[in-house]
Parts: sequence; structure tokens; C-alpha cells
Amino acid sequence: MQEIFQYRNGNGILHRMNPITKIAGVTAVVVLAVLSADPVFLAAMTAAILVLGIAGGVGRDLLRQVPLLAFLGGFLILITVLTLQIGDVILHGPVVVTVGAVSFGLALALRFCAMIFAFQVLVATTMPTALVGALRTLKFPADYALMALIALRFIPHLQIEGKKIQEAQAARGFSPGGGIGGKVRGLVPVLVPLIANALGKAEVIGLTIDLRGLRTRLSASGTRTFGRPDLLLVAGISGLAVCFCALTLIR
Amino acid sequence: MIEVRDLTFTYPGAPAPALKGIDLTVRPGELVLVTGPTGAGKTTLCRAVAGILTHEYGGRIEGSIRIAGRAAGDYRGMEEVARAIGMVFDDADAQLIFSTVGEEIRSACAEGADIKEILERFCLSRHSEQAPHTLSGGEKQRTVLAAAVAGGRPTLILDEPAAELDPASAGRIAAILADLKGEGRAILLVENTPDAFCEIADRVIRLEAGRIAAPASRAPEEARAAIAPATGDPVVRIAGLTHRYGAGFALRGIDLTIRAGEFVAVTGENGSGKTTLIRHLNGLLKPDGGSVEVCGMDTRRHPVHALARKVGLVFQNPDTMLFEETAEREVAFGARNAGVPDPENSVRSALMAVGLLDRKDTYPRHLSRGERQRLAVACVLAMGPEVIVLDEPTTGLSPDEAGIVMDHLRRLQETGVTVIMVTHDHALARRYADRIITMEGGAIMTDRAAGGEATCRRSSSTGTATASSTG
Repeated sequence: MQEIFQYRNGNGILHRMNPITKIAGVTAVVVLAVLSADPVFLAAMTAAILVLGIAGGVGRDLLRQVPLLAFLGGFLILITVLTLQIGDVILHGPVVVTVGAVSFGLALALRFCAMIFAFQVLVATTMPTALVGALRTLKFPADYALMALIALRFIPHLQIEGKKIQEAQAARGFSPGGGIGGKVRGLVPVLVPLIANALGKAEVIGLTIDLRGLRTRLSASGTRTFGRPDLLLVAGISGLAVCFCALTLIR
Repeated sequence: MIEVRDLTFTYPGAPAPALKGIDLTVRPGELVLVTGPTGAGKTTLCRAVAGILTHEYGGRIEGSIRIAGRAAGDYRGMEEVARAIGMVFDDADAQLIFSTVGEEIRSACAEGADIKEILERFCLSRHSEQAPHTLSGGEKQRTVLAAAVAGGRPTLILDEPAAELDPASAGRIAAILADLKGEGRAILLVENTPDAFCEIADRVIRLEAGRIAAPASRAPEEARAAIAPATGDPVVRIAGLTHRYGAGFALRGIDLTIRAGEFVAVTGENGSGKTTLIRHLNGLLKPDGGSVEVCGMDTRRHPVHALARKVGLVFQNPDTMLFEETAEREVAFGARNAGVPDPENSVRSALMAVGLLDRKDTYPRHLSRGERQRLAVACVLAMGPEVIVLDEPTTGLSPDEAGIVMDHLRRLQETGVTVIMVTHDHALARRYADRIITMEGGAIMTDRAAGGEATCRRSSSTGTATASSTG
């Protein structure tokens, strides 16, 4: 099964970076993505993150997300085109397609891609304990840092559990059919046991955290020092910010 | 060290105490084994002696609990209790918080602890960089145990750490516990099927309805009721079945025929291919090589929902399927999907067959584990299958509850249903099955009538086995 948002062992440039730099980088990407509505700038930023991911040895993880992101991006563009009419008309007919709607839909999709890629780069190249340590250094409350850790850890678990539940319902002759209708019909028999089982685990997770003393043990101490890879990332993000400001001023 | 004196505990809002007048001492270097039926209060006892009831649950506590010489209530909270006590719960998945085994153990260690030594001791060195969800059940439990032990805590509480393990994996856990006991740690171990741990236990305590009853004793094994050997037509025909997971073979050239009305037990260690084999029977997995035919249907040519009308598969954990608001509706879900002619009658018959007709209006998740397991059996029974396949149907059940489930399965067999059951429990297989198949490394190693001689032909060059039953 394809795992998403999981740490990958390695010693690439991204793995050697200080987690705080990476968190700052992701924050900057999110801010720039939200502020910009320019598809060209957003596409360039997404491409830059992809190149960085490939250089850092997690390119395959990013590329695996492309089919899902393409589907979600297409869906966002479709919804925007159907609900928005701004600027010149490209296509007349039962649905009027405008340049502004396509541009806005594209910007939404690329924003989404840039943020997902940046987050994927962060979690795929940062040991969970280092990530929690960095969040603690940034004065995140211990409970929130641990919540982030647990959420990441349980993504593959939920993927596996979801597949098991689907199989168990199929073994009971359940066949919701294909397409969106089938997916909707298939939701209740899968989601109800998935959520009920996940909630059942919550108590044991909480007790385990207490019994291992993780609230105090996962302190800010294990954080790496800053080095050349960190400077490179800061320079790259600064470059993107300058480009964004320049583009904004030109227009 | 743990000292419990005259402990009575009542959960908030509960009408009656879950524990009544418990006296228990676990000294350094001692392992106390606690057994008893489901609902006897074993898990509550574990949580009581770990200080969890005192600090997390509320409820009414009478009597005293002392942990490492101090009253449980004198600790400032669970973080302080955790310096004296390590606890392992039965759900290993929920206790694996980090992304690799090494990180899991490192997070639990004191500064400067020798991680390598711990990994070696728990036979986890080669899994250090592995993600927890990719481990086997035994490896997960060893990781959780290692994390509980890693902080040097003098007292360990283990709540069914071997519930889902095969005898070999349970034996490895027992060997580790024997070592820890030798180091002077006090260990309280709860286990439903305590065979692997009896030898290392200093004392065995049986809990019943919240009280300490007489020391546990093993029920004498009943002679298996004589059922005539099945002579019906073949309902399962497997020829040259191979299946791969990635680069490795999970099944290697399986040949197997099962006749209508047989009760077949499939045994073998974790990873031997048992579950992979039975998932081929209703088409959840398709053969990479060879063929699987069930009730005359080639599994490659029919979708799972069509095969499900002939073959009912009961998963190991009944909670993977329960989503309706009542037991009756849960059972009706499968009957509706299968399009059985008289669903109401089928649902009623299925609930009656597993002894749950009087619980038909109960919310399924409020049933006990054994009842949920029986409900899962009813769910597939209502679909009117000719073959019922069960993956570890007695996991997590007390011997009493396991006996109830198995007796129901035997009655089903007597009505002509073919029963195929995966189990780690050899005694259970001998007691209930007509035929026992043992798997190893993705091949059938032996195939024998219960109590009869094994017949096995194994090709040394290919590693494939061809087996036939003497039953």
C-alpha cells in the first residue's frame, strides 16, 4: 500500500536541515500560497519544491501524490468554472467558461499542490521526535506537538484499517458500485467502524503517552544546529518572497 | 513492588463494583499470572495497580493500592507513576506512537541508555529503522514491551500481551519475561490463554466476577465428539496456488481439496501463509499462479460480492465490520446484500444459531468480545453460505467464551456447512476439527485427520507441498 506523509530514512540535504528551518520554510510557502493568486508564480513555487524534494531524496514520495493532486486540482478547477464568471469568455454554451474562472481555479489547485508538497517534504525528511522537539522549541504546547506526532503516525494505520474494513464489508456481499454514487453509498459501512475503532484506540494512546512520560521527555533538547543546508533553504524562500513582491509591484 | 489490600472499585455511574475485595502482592523478582473469563475484571485490575484508576478514571476506590511503597494517590500524576511502572496494553498498534522501532524505544529511554543493547535483547536489531505498521504481531508486542522496559522501571504490568500471537511468538515473550523476572522486576501478567506463561509464573490467580477465585486450573480436554468423516462433493479445489507480496512468495504451490461438511483447521506460525490462503477463498486475493475454485466458481472470474453468497469469511477482529445500530440490523445487512429470499427469517435463524436472539436489539459494540465474535458469525450465516471461513475466531476470548463459539461452529457443521478455521490453538483444533492442516513458509507441511496420521509430500527442489487428507 502506498503510504502518505511518512518519514523516510536518509541523509540528504533536507534530512540534514534543522527542523525549525523546515517548519519556517513550510510556513513561508503557506503564506505565499495564500497571498498569491498568480498561477505562474504558484506553478514556479510548486516546481521549486518538487526540485528540492528530488534533490533531498524524497522525489518519489512527492511524485506519488501527483495523481491524487491532479484529481483534486481538476475538481477545484471544475467547481470554480461552474460557479464563477469573471473576465473574457472562452467558451459559450450551457456552461460559460471565462478566463478569470480558469485562472482562479488553477491558482486554487496550485496553492493546494504547493502546500501539500511542502508539508510532505517536511514530514518525509524529519524524524517525528525531531519534529516534536522543534515544535516544543517554538513554544508549542506539549499536547499539540504530541497530537501532530500521533496524527502523522496513524495515517498509515488508518489506511490499513480502512482497507480491512472495506474487505470485511465486501466479504458480506456489499458492493456499492463505482463512480461518485458508489463512493457515497460505501461511506457509512466503512467510516462508522473506522471512526469507532480509532476512538477506541484513543484512550490507550493517551495512557501510553502518560506512562512513558512523553510530555516531559519530548523536550526541545534534541534539536539540530543550523548549517549550510539551512542557509540554502532560507535563501531559496527569500528568493521566492522577493519574486512575489516584485510581481505584486509590477501589477 | 505492588501491594493491593481489600480493593473494591466501582466505575463512575456503574451499579456494581468491577473489583471486589482484591488482595494481591507482587514482589520484586516475582511474576504473577492472572487469568479469568472476559468481563472478570482483569483489565480493571491492571489499571488499578498501574494507578490509572486513581489518577484518570474517578469512580469509587475502597481499600489501598501501593506502588513501590507509596500509596497510588500520593503520586502527583501518571507521569510520576510512570517512573515506577511500565505497562503494556493488549492493543500493540495503539501504543506504537513513533515512525520507527528505534525511535519508539529511544523515546522511552533515559538519557544515555544503550539502545543497541535493548534492540538486541528484544530481537529487534534488524527492525530498528522499520515502521511499526509493517511489523508482525509478535514484533509489535516485543517493541511495545521493550519501550515499557527501556526506562528501567522496576514493575511491569502486561494486559494480554500475547493475545494475538502464535505459540512460538508467545514463547519468545515468555523467555523475555523470564529474563526480566530474573533481574528482579515485579511482573503482573494477564493472559486469557496462559499456556506459554504457566512455567515462568510464580503464582496463578483466577479472577471471576471481580473477585479472586480459586487458583486457575486447566479444564480437562474433552474427547472430540465423533462426527462421520465428510464424504460430500469437493467445495474447495485449489491447484498449484501461488501468491506473492512484493518480491517474496506468500504461498508456494498449494494443492488442496476440501469436501462439503468438513471442519478443517489451518494452523501455523504468524507469517506462514494461513490468512493469505483463506483470503483466496472468497476472492479478496486473486491467485498469482494456479487456481482456486469454490462451490464450482473460479475465484478469478467472479467478484467478491458474488463469491460472498457461497463463502462467508469472518475476520479475526469482529469490530472491522460492525457499523449498524442493532445486532439484528447488522445481521440483516449481509442478508440484504446477498439477496436471500426470506431475509427476516434468515436473520432470526442466524441469531438463534449463535445464541444471540435475545440480544438482537443491543448496540453491537456493547456486546462482549465473545458475543461480537458470534455476531460476526451470524452476519455471514444469514447470507446462507455453503462454506464458512474463520480467521482466528477465538482470539482474545477466554477459554469459556472460545468454547461457546466453537460449539456453535460444530452445530453448524452438523447442519452441513463446511467450516474452515485458521487458529494458533492446536488443542482447540484437535478438539473440534476433522482435519488439521499445518502451514509453514507459504506451503502445506502436514494435512492430517484430527488424531490421525499426517500425509505430506514435499518437493525438496521447489519447496512446494502436495497434501491430502486421511480423514
